[in-house]
Amino acid sequence: MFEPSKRLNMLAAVISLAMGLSLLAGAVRAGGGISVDAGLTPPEGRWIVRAQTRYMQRSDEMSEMGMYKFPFVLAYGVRSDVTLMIRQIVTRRSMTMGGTTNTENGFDDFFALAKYKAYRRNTRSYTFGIAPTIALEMPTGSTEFSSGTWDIAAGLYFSWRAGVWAADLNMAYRWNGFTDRNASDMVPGDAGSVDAALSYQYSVGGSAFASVFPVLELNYENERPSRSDGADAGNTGGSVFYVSPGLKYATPSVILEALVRVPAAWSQNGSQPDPATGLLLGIRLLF
Amino acid sequence: MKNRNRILNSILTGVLCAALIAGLGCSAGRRDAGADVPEGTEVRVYEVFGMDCPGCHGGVEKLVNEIPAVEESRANWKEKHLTVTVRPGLDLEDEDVLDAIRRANLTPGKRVR
Repeated sequence: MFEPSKRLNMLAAVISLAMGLSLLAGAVRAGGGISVDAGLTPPEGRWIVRAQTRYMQRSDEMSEMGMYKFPFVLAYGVRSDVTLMIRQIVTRRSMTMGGTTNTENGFDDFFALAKYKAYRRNTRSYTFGIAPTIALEMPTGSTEFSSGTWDIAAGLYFSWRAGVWAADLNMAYRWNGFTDRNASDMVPGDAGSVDAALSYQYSVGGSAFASVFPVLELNYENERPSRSDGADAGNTGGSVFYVSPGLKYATPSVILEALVRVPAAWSQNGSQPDPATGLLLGIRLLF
Repeated sequence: MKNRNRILNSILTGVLCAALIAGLGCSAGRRDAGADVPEGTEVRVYEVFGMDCPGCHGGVEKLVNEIPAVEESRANWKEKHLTVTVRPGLDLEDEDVLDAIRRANLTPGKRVR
């Protein structure tokens, strides 16, 4: 993890950037979260491509770990109320221990999600939507990065827009290892998450065709301990709460996004490394 | 390994710069449909609810532009309007436009012009 002083500097830089851009901007309107893919909602017959770079770093007295993840997401509007989405992540991880650095590259598990816009109300003053999601993660990844199990996830996504403000809430639960086991013969614990995002929209130069959004995300993740031979495995599972300030720039066909994910509080079972601070840079193309 | 990192960084920087330039270009070059149409060309304006940012424009425009009688359409989320230029010599049914708006997961209001 970054030292506290470095973390504060990074946070200060992001907030300064957001404030600077907001001063340059003109009139105002609304937007959504950055780190949650379930929020992608292309209209019927339209594609959204999202590519991101996520960097995480953590260190202690014994070791240092740096990890790049490159998620590539493709979402398609099958109907006005149905979205299909697939995601493939490429990972590059470096571990330094005792002066020796070991680097691994590979694919994470393949992920597919379906979203149904069960309720949507569009009015002159606000827009509100509720969309359940169902997802499947297949153990197709490289040995180093695959969970080794088939996992199912279900979620509920809420979105609300009113004038300059936008709020999104995503609640998801993942049943890990409902079939199959990973290489260590351990069944990973189920995981739940709650992701909230609040954003404010500034129209660049008063135009309707370019906007800047300062975004604040709050992310909570809880993972139950892994199980082996019917018993909880030690040093697995726990909860982490992240505070993530970010910035988004949107035009009709391109959205650029950046976010810093800072673990604010955590409680982990047994002895585990502290959660890592992350930096996310992304681009979304709309076709 | 250093070379690979350098290549990766160059690709990423290139993609981000290209996207930024494309995005800025899109925003700078945009104008409302019907802004410079020849005299006698019919331009209609519909209220549309549910658009909340520039990213919402493309979806509804694409669906409306697929209607044969539509020459061009431009959405404006701030005005909550969709401006449609009718192709000369063809009849445009309002219901076709309203149906396209609904398929973009938006809600049509009244036709204001």
